[in-house]
Amino acid sequence: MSQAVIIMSLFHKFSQYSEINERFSEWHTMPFGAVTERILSPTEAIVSGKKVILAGTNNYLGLTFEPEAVAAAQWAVEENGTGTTGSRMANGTFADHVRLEKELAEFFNVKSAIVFSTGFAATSGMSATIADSNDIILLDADSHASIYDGVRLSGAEIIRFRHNDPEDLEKRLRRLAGRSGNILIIVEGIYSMLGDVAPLAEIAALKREYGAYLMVDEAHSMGVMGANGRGAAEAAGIEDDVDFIVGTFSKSLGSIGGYCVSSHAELELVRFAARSYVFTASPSPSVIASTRTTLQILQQRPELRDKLWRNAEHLYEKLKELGFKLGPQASPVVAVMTDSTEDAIRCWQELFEQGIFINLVIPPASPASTGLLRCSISAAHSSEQIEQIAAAYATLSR
Amino acid sequence: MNTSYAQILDKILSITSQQTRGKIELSEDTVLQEDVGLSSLQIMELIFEVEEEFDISFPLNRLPDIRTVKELAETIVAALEQ
Repeated sequence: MSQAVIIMSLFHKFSQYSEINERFSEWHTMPFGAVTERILSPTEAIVSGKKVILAGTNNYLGLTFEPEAVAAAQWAVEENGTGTTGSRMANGTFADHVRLEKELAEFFNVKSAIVFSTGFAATSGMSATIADSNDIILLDADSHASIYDGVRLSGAEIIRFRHNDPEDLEKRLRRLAGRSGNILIIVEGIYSMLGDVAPLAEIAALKREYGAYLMVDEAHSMGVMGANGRGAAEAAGIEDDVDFIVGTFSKSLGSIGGYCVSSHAELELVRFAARSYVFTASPSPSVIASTRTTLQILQQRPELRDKLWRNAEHLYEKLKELGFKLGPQASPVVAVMTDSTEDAIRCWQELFEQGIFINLVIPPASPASTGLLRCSISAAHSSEQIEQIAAAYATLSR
Repeated sequence: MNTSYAQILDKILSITSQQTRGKIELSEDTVLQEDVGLSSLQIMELIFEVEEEFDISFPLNRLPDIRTVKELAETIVAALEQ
């Protein structure tokens, strides 16, 4: 009897998800359980029995089927096996991990780079490690979950400022006058939900004025922004002000893994302290091999970025003409804000039935209290596919 | 700043009342999440407004300790006294 009570109590917190699942079931929809049965190309797949255009994959440069990257991964798995089976600090540092770190440092023009096993591990690991209980972290309110989780682990005092609001950031910096401890500001380049870009020039100016450190998460902006594809900091011309750039291989680079790069040579010492680096197995050889290849392609083919932006602006303008409530600026993340969570779920299903597979975002993941229909556009989308996506949106009952 | 507990309490009740559109009777003992039904996003917005009103920054670390209107008011008093 007492055991039954304990079990109910333990799982009670998940009852809200059970209610959501029941609602999805009643509506014959499955936005969070859709299974990709066969992937046909970077932009098409068979999902839950239906051929769809992939319009929410974060595959910004469309490199997941790039022949050179596939060949490099095949060679690596034959040569070095399926996994490293160990931590970077034990047996899991292979020569290609070190080569990729050198190539990342060269790409970003910095002294040091660390490769992590996932983007989440990189961002949360750095957020948890760089500051400690003597320091203060100021983070944008719309920061990714990996940043929120990381800063909580740091033990630092955590203060949020209003999203993309340098004026609010300055107020908070001013309030800290006279306090001891280092101040670390954490922002993102492109924000993953609404696709808006951080005002990095203003944030960097504040960082300089108040003597703070700055970390920028370029997960959605590396390969997407900047003359050389280095991200939002490059586009804003403030790379010298950024102390730490973190990011992922799972978007523009089409694999999985994460990184931190820095001009501070001391980044090398973080390897000893970042638990998400030390206490996990390192990325598999095939992952590192394809990532090294796509990092080269990103640099050799800037036309992919141009195509990505043409596609993104094409869809953004089409949806704007249709009268949808969109994020504040055109970017490869094109998000429609709905009037209610129910509307978002219904629209997601209507789009899916028309062969358009996007991301449904509902609270608490959504920065709004309603819902988001989130597209992420790829350089691999054809103009015809963008037209098809827009045409499907045009049919939504609103 | 020389702001009394009563003044702070009044302000919090006023801001919270705007969020609930006066539908719920609020007191010091009102539990923000359960009684008022504020979502985590709404609580964050409430905190932003309180911070603006009193020109303070409210550490996120303290949020888990605050359930009621009274606890929020006491935390702000402490922050203002620092």
